[in-house]
Amino acid sequence: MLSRLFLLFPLLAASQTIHAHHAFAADYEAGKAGNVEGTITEIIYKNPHARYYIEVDSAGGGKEIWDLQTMNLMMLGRVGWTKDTLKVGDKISVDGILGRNNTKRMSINVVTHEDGRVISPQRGIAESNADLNARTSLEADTPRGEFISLAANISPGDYELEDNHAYLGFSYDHMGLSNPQLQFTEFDATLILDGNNMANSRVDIAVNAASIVAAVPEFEARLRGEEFLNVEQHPEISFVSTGYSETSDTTGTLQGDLTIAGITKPATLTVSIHAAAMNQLNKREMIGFAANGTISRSAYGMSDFADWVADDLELNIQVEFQKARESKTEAGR
Amino acid sequence: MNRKTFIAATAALVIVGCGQNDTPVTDSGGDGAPSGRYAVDRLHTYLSFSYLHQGLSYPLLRATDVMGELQFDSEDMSNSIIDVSVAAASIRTNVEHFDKELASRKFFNADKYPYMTFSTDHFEATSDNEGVLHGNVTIKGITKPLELVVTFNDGFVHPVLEVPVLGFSATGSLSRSDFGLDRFVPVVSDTVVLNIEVEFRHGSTDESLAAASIARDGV
Repeated sequence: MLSRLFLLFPLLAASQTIHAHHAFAADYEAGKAGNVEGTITEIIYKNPHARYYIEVDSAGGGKEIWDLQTMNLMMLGRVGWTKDTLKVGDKISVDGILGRNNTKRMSINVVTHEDGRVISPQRGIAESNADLNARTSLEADTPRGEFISLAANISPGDYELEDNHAYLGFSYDHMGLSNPQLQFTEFDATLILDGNNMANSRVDIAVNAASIVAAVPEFEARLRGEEFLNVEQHPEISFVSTGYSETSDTTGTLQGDLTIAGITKPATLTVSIHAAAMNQLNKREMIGFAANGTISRSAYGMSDFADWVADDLELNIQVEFQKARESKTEAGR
Repeated sequence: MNRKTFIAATAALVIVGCGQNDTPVTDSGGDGAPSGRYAVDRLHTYLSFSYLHQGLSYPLLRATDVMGELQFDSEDMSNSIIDVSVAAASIRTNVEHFDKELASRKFFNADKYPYMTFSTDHFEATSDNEGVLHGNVTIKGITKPLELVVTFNDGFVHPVLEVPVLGFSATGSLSRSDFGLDRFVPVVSDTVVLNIEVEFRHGSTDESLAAASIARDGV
């Protein structure tokens, strides 16, 4: 699946500002983490992502409604988060990523419920923070074997994409009827891992824009054309990371510059590390994670059919990386 | 109801409104979609599934050849029936040799069992736009019950096509070992999670009738 035609991006090693946690009222710039507390007033438990609306005491003394969103129902279902996990009237405190432009929106990292439960879209439902932090998102029926979850337990350095296990999907709301699930099938990526100081880790991705797949070839051809990806002029989609901030040992937010159809905008991905370990078969260290995020297609000049097709594209990235060989000579032994 | 849905639904009401004034208006969001037979709209239908690979990642696989028919009852969703057939050789992993391996006798044995099917037993409505679809799934000639959690997203007369359309999302999970697909369990999880996004257009087609026949009767 991997197109070797795509050159890897120069690896970025420059130090970056670490994004600190900010109190919700103090600062909610784009991509910043924050906290918001309130009472759930409405729940929309539907794809492409579940939404919770909460009523919050505003700084000015009144009330305001915040729009909290999390992952799609399949991802939530994996960790046991159902439509009954949170109910209208529940009081919750939520840590997450604040929306851009001071919109009262947040992407949920962790929900702390008034009844004491701590609920994560990546790690499920726990009785306490400590309990939650001890978890990974692994399904209960899957033994972890030799796998361990912390990136600190595998060596720092350069990792390459394990291209048999790499998926880049996205979906959007189509006319309120369905959420099409498209993919790019050819991409390469590099990871510079520093498990002891994850803020120094970097992920860069290069995607063959023409490798988009949809339900039917006619639609794929249209997406490759001038009104959308314009792959003749802009054959490559790229993500160049500019910073990573941990929200727990196995989760964090990856900041970067995303270029689509020649337009570059900042983008934030929520990362959930599934496992990091030595592959006992080939003795290479591996790490696997999911990355999710929302991007606006109109920001990249793709605003056709705005009445029918949502502006928000929900990204669903599933990737495995393996430690890069020291040299070709060694690899050939 | 968001803006575009509102626009579409309004258009639907204007078009359908003539001659159907006695139709009770429900708040299910499907105000413009009449009862009847609908065919899977292949332009807007996606069947994905996923599992945990070595604890490291959840691959996103796709079944690309999905056909089926819905007998929709707009008055009582619990009377609705859906029958679906999926070509076993149409699973795409983005890795060519893996696609071939899945179609081979090691997995789906697509030459001998060309279709995976789902046929409805009954639909249990849990709200005006949600429910559990109880049915039977057949893979590799083995039939097991399957429950899908279904959301009826919307239904209306398409403002351009001028034909009623319906949209659903559904999720569910199954144990692949139940169907003789147990290679690499448990290194690769036994549990497979299904994520279905499907739209229908009013009216049967030759394809939808054939797919329903395969799902119901095996031929």
